[in-house]
Amino acid sequence: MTTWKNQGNGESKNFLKDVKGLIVIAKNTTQTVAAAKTLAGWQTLINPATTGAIKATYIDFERGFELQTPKPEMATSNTGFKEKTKDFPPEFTGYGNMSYDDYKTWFPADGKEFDFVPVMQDGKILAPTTSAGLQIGFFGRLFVNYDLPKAGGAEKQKAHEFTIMFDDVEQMKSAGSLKTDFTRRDLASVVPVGINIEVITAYENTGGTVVVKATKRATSEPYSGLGTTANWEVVSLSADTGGACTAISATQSALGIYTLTFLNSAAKLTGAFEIQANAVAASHITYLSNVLNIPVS
Amino acid sequence: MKFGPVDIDETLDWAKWEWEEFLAFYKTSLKEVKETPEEIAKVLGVKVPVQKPKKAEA
Repeated sequence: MTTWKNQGNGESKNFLKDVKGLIVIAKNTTQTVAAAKTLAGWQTLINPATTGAIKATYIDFERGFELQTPKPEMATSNTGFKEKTKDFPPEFTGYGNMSYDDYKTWFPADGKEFDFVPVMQDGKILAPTTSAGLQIGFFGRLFVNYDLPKAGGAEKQKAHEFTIMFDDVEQMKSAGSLKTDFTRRDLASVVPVGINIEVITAYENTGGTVVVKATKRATSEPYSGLGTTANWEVVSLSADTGGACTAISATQSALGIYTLTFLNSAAKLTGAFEIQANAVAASHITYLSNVLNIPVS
Repeated sequence: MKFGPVDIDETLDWAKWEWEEFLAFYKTSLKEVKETPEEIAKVLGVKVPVQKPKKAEA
């Protein structure tokens, strides 16, 4: 924070606009302030050319945003002197403008630490800077709610609830509102389109094939753009030392159906593994699936 | 690398595959391709067993 000096009063009395979205970033990811003001800067983090390079995504809070930050602690001593004795870092609940299937993709992130950059209605972002002058996010944690669907009406709109807790009030003191060259709609549009993948024929552990169906998330519309082995990645393995999509048959891709062969070199996989599909266009990931567990019996 | 409707990951280390392993893979995953196992193996770099020349008849 800078030194206190009288600094004048502006002629405009505008409030900061409402928070309408949140960029969720891998911890300690930085970029120059100049890059943070551009859509291209965020694209290198949100939809780069490879899944390994993805460092961020954007959650649309159009359905609502409620501050939950405790009021600063005011204490009165036994001498009767009252003053502020504690500040609390911001906490808030945002209601994701997304499908339940989208929301489910966040379940594995419950309690996970991220850096966060709030996005205002006018596209400005609120972000602190590092001691080196680089833009960074607010360090904090994200929580989801595993509740059953809410009843209709206004409460329904609060179904996809994210509770965000920033962990360091000091970062708020150094944060600034950055005017960007993009709107929050632009930001939302660069997030890869969600695809749902599901097993329709279980992993066949003599030949190593599994049949998977891909649809555009929360619809039954088949997705046909996953017809090469490069579209499929093994995300994690439970028992094997390696694994990859060795071959794919896409004769039924118009129906979103793919027959995939996953092997560890020439050997079949012996334990459950997880896969994810993606499609790349013009050096940016444009479609990205859920992570799917493939059981191996 | 596309063979008809099937795409094969040509970046894998196919030279390490035994011929019998490749044949099993061919039967399972490459049923829809027109090429023979030998043709695909040559493209990918799988070692194709050399057939012994027949002995000349006396």
